[in-house]
Formats: sequence, structure tokens, C-alpha cells
Amino acid sequence: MHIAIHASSDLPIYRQILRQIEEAILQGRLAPGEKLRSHRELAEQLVVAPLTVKKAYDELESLGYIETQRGRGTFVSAEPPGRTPLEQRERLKAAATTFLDLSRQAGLGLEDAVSILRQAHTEQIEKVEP
Amino acid sequence: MIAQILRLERPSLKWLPLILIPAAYVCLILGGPKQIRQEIFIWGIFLPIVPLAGLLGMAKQWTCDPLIAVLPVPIRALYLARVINVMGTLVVCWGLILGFALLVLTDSTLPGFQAANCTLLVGILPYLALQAWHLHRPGFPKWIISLVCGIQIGPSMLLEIWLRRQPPATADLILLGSILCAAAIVSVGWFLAPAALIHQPRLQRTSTSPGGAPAILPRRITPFLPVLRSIYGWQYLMWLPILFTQGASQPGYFPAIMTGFAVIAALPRSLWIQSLPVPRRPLLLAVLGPAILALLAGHWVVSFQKSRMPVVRLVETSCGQADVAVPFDLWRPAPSNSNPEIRAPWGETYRPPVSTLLGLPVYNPFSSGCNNSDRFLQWQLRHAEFANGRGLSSRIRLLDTLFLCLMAVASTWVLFLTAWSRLRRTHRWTIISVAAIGWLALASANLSPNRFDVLGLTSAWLGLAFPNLAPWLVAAAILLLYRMVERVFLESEYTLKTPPQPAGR
Amino acid sequence: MKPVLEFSNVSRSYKAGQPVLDRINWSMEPGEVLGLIGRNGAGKTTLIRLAMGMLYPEGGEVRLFGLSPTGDPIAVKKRVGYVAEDQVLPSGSTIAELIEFHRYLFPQWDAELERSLLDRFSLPKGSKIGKLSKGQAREVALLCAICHRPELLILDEPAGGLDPAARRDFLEASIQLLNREGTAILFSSHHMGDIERIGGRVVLLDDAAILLDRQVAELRENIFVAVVSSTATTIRNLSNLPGCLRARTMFDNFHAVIVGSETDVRTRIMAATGLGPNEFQCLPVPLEELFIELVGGGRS
Repeated sequence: MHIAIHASSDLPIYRQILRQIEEAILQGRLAPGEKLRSHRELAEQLVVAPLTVKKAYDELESLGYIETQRGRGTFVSAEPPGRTPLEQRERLKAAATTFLDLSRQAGLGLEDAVSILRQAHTEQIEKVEP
Repeated sequence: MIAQILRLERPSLKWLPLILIPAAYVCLILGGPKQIRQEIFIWGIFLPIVPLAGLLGMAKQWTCDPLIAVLPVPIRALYLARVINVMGTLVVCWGLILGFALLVLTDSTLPGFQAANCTLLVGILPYLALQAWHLHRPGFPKWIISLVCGIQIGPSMLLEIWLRRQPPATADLILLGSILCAAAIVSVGWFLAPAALIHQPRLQRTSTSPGGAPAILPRRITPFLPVLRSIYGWQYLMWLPILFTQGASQPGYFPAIMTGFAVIAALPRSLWIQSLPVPRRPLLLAVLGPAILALLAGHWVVSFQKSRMPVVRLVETSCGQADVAVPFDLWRPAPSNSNPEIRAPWGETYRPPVSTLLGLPVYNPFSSGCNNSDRFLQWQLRHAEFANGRGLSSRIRLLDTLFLCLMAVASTWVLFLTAWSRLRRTHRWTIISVAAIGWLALASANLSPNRFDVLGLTSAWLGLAFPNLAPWLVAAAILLLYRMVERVFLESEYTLKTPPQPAGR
Repeated sequence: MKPVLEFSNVSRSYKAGQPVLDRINWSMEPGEVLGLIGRNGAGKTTLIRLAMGMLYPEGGEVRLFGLSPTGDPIAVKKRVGYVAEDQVLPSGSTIAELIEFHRYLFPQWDAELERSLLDRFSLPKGSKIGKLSKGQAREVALLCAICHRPELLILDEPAGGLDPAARRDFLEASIQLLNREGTAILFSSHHMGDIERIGGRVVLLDDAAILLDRQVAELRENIFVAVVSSTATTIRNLSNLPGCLRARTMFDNFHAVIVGSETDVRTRIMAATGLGPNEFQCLPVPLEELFIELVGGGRS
């Protein structure tokens, strides 16, 4: 998988790594049980201090996304958080809250928001199946 | 334009103390006994010349100054501005040189070689600096510069030896020489000025040779090639022939005192070794050793020549009688309170006059008075020849050598003080003054109340005062002093430049 | 664990009465990467030269691996690699000869690493060092500094004057070393991007003292710049806030650098100035901005 580091980002490097791996797991680009690069390999690849990568890995591990098996390496957890239907709903709900906040700031009601959602959905389908 | 450039350049007058301090010292001594005046002659002229040469040499750094190179500045305006900039100091230098030269020359006659030597120095040193200045351009191989400088030193030394045999120099010679030099410097600069200062990029030349060390050298030395090349750069090697010729041509301690400069010249190139686990002690030996050897080689060549000349001579005294003259080395310390008496086997006696040698009462045990018979004189002469044949002079030569080493180490020590970590934190001018005073103190050792060779005098004195201990005493002094040099060197801070001072906010 | 490098109460000046470093206390653990930042002339090079034993401390003590760099220079330097900003390598020697010399000095020299670095930097072994470009000369210096696998690598402005690709190569080589050996790295730089990439910890020197000594991640998440209108409060009021590192005037605003979590910082400002939550800004800033906020001059 590809991880991009931007020095000018608002996030510190370890958070950039953490977030990108988290997203990859949530989006299924990293399958449960898949082996990850060791933190040293990843550090060399990204040209980032090994400790920084280690910090990201440690945090991911404490969040339950990955697990380290002694002597074998680091793997994506068999059941990473955020992939059960309940958790997925929760995440969607969080995104929806942000969406609603934005529509309220624009002076739009719930109906308008829902119609915009529908419109976006149609456009997305058209884009995928022209 | 020139005024604008002058405003940019640093005022050169700040170097004046470097010239005025020695000049004041020389003036102080000129007020002393008459004999010393002649001794000081060479100092009075030489001391302003060194900073003069340095000043001119400094100009070479500007040649490639990228700041000036990118500005639309006409090169000759730049050149004139620089000449004007150093003019104040230059004028003082020339003034001092001429002043001392005229003062002493009109006062008394001088050995021809000293005056000639000065004239040459007046010419050679600034000229060398000038050469370096004009030849030092990017892409110009350094070895050519060193070759040019080296070629000039060689013949000039020969010239000096020739001049020594000529009648004593007059003030005109020095006056003429220095005026010619001044004219040459300005005109050479003017005509050789390039159309533009080019800050050339380095040539990318990649050789295909494997780059291994030559196989001739023993394996233990080959890894050190980069170090050897660094310390034995042309800056250092240039000093070796100078030390050799000076050791051969200059009597006394003066050449030894120059050793320190050779050592200092080698160090800036070896800065890169500092961060590596290379012991400093061998480094010091590697730098000091060849310089001292070159100096001693010069000295030995001459003392070997001298040893083939008769040591014991017959001289005519004021009363018309002949007397035996021997070097001080063969004199003896006089017993206190009583005049020594020399008694021949047949009963004839003579009480030679006692004179003092650096405070030690001594007498010539081989002399013969106005009233003594010819037989007595011949007896004394045989005596002297016998004493000389006993290898006394070889012991004295050993003492000379040791004293030269001592002075060489001492001068190195004084110059090292400027980089000593303990002194370095004090004000820069304090350090420079300490070094200057130390160096002048060493230089004073070269002054003798009469016109004898100071080095020979000192060794003779020590040999007479401590007949058996003398070489050991000097050797111990050398060792002690060397330890001090080592100590200062080990505790030195050598950095290319001091980091910038904190910016005032 | 014993610290690799330790400064206790170290002072140093070049002119009497004008300390460049004033009673610095600071240490580095094995395997730690430390980025040294500060304005030009803040004392970074002095600190590094003190660590290398090239300068003597005026007061206090410098220790590397528990040894004094001036008292025991050989033992210390055998375990340290050093690349200076103005490294003057012997220009008359070839790369091969210089490497040969280092191999002689360091018995633990890693020939394989040497070969791989020569390949990566594509350095011609037979060329004279004086004929190399600036970047190549720096690469030679780095090669010489890391091929003996030092326990501490000291880089004084390693990237000064290098192009981005060469800088990246430089960082890569350092990181490989870190990975394989756990070498501690002390480096000074003006490239905040580089500091952020490889620096675990940042030390900011200012006014002869250490103004800031923190982990990079902490700097990014636990330091905020509050921008308050200059009509709302006084600069002294802001400076006296707990955790405030510096406050300065920027045109119509005051900028204050404050340590703490965002909510914490906000509450503190509101308590001190009596402003409402929307009457001032509290911004997380990238390292470069933070540096400017901390040591840059004020404008009004």
C-alpha cells in the first residue's frame, strides 16, 4: 500500500501514517490477517525515523487495528474495529452530523439536505455505469 | 566608484598595531648601547616587512570574492580601491623600513650582508605575496604558484651570498630597492588585472585510475597518505627550503625562531582530522620534526664548512706582539678574586686579563702577553691546537644544535598559545599581544652586546659554566619545553572559523 | 540506560561576557534522534563542536558515553561519526585513499555498507576530493562518518546547500543506519521538514539557552499559537499566561505560543483576557511556523 507523507500537513507524521493505515483497513484495502511491513522497513521506505512509525503502529495496536505476533511480524487484526455493522453505522452517523452541520450553516433544511444526498448518489451511479 | 568600494571594504588601519608594536620595541632598543643598534638593524627592517607581506597577501582572498564578482565593478577601480585601502598601513610600513634603514646606515658601517639581506627581504616578501595574489585564480594549479615562489627563493639566496662579498651596502640601495618594489607592485597589479573576475566552477575531472596508494610505501604508512598530503602541503613544504637556507645563512637564533611559522602553516590543512580518532602527539612530531631537521641541516652544512677553517689563530695585539686567539669555547672560567696565572714549564708566567661572557668571568688560557717570549707564544699555540684537537668543538656543535632545537620549540610554543583553549576565550588582542610579546622576547635572545654570534656565545657560556652538565641541561630544557608545546597543542582549539556571534536582537 | 551525550551546566563564550551557550543542561539517550534548531548564531555549531571536543567548555562538563571528549579524545572519536557543514576534506587525496585511511582508523569498518553507499551516491572512487562537487564531497563525508557504524552520528547542517534529492539520499542513509544499529543521531538543520521526518526530539537554542526541548509529535499536537487582537489585551498579560513560551506583536495582533492541549489553552486565554471563545484564534502550526513564532522578530 502507498502512504504519502506531507511535511506541511497539519498533522504530525505519525498521525498521517496512522490515519492512512486506518483508512486502508476500514476501506478494505488491507484485509484482516494481512501482513504489514515491519516498522523498520516502512521507516526506510518513507524516509522517516523508525520511532515515528513505531509510534503509529503502537497506537494502531492499542486501537485494535493491528496486532504484533512475536517473531512473525505485524498483521491486520482478524476483526479490526469499525468493521462490524454497528460500528460502521456509528461512523456514518458521525459523517452525517458533519454534513448536516454544513447544510445548516448554508441555511438549508433537512429536506434540502436529503435531496442533495439523493442527487449526489445518482451522479455517482451515472459516473460508475455510464 | 572607488569611494563606494572603499566604504565596503574593511579599514586596513586595524593592522597598524601589528606593525607599530614591533616598531616601538625596535625604537626602545635603538636608544640602548651602540653595538645593539647594529644588531637591531635587521629587526627594524624585517619586522615591518612581515605584516607588509601579509597585508599584500591578504588581498588575494578578495580576488575571488563572489560578492564583488557578481557586481558590475570595473576591475581596475577595485584594484585601486584596494591599494588605497591598504595604503595607510603600507605607507607606515615603508616609512618604518626606510626610517630604520637610513638611521642605522648613516650612523655606522654595517656588515654588507645584513644590508643586502634586508634589501632582498624588502623586495622578495611583498613580491611573493604579490605573486600569490595574482596567480591565485580558480583553475590555476597551486603547484605552479609554489614552483614560481620556490624558484624565486633559490636564486635570491644565491644572490644574497654573492652580495655578502660586496662592499657594505649604503642607504641608497635600500631606498632604491624599496621604491622599485613599490612601483613594481602597483604596476604589476594594474597591468595584470584580468578583464573581469570570474568565479569559475570547479572542473569536473574524473580520473579512471583505481586510486590506490603507490605500492612503494610500506603498508603501515599507506593509509595515512591523505593525512601526510594534508600536513605536507605546499604551505608547509615552502618553509623547509627557507628554514634550510636561513639556517645556513643567518647566524644566531633567528632562523630557529622562524620554525614556529612553518608549524603553524601546516595546521589549517589538517583540520579535517580533528573529528577522527587520530592522536595529536604524532601529528605534532610530524609537523615539527621536518622543520627542525631542515633548520639543523642548514646549520650543520655551515658549521661543517667552518670547522675546516683554522680555529686557533694568531692575531696582532695593540703592543705589536702576536697573541693566540681561540673561540670562547676554549676559554676557561676565571677563579674568583684572583687573576689566573699561566705558568710555562720553564717558569715564564702570564696573567691574562679577565673578561666577562654573559656575566661569567672568563679568560683565554692560551694567550700570551706583550712581555712574553716567543717561546711562550709558541708553547701556548701548541697548547691551543692540542686542546682544540680533543674534540671540544664537537661538543660545542652539539650544544649549538640543542640550543637551536630549544629555540625552535620555544617559538612553536609561543605561536601555539594563540590557539590554546585557555587563552582563546580572552580578548583576541590579548592573545595576539601575548604571542607578539613572547615572540619579541625570543627575538631579543638574538641580540648580543657585542658583535659575536649569539648562538655560539650562549653555548660557550653554558659549556664553561657547567662543563659536564651542559648538553644534559639543554636536552632537559628541550624535553620540558616540548612537553609544554605538546600540552598546549593537545588543549588547542582548531576550528576553521569561529561560529557567528549571537545576533543582537 | 547511560546517556550517549550529556551536557551538564556547559557554558562557552568567544568574547568574555557574551556567552554563546550559558549553563546548558541536556542529554541524549542511545538510539535517540535529536534535531537541533535555532537561528544562525544561536550556538548550534558551538554546541556540536563542544560535543566533538573541538572546543573546550568554559564551565560545566561535556560527556560522551561517560567520557570527556577533550580528556579522552581517541576513545570518544572512535565511536562517533561527524559531518560538518564546512567539512574540509583533504582535497589532494582520492576517495579511495580517504576510505583506506578511515578503514585503518576504525577496525569495525563495514566494507559492505561502504560499497552500497558508493553505488548509491555513484561516487567515482579514483577521483580527487578537490575535484568533486559540493554534494559529492558531502556524500563522501557522510560515507566516512557512517561506515564505521558509530554509536553517535553528529551532523552539523548536513543538508546545507544540497538539492532536495541529495538531501533525501542523505536522510535515507541516516535512517538505514538508525534502523540497523540504533545509532543515536544529533543533527542541526534549518530544514524543518527534515527535522520532522527523522527527528524524534527537537531542541531549540535561543539566546544562549535551550528554549524548547520536546518530542516532535508533542510539538505538533500540544503547542498552539493564539492570535489575539492587540486591542483586547496587553502583551504582558499574554506572556504571563502559564505555559506561554513567547508572545510578540504582529501588526494588529498579538501572537502567543502556548503549551497545552487545545481546550486547555483556550480556557487559559479566556480566563486571562476575558474574551469569548470566538473572539480569538487558537491554531496548531507546522514546525516551520512554530520556529518563526518562537524566534522570529515582532512587527508592529
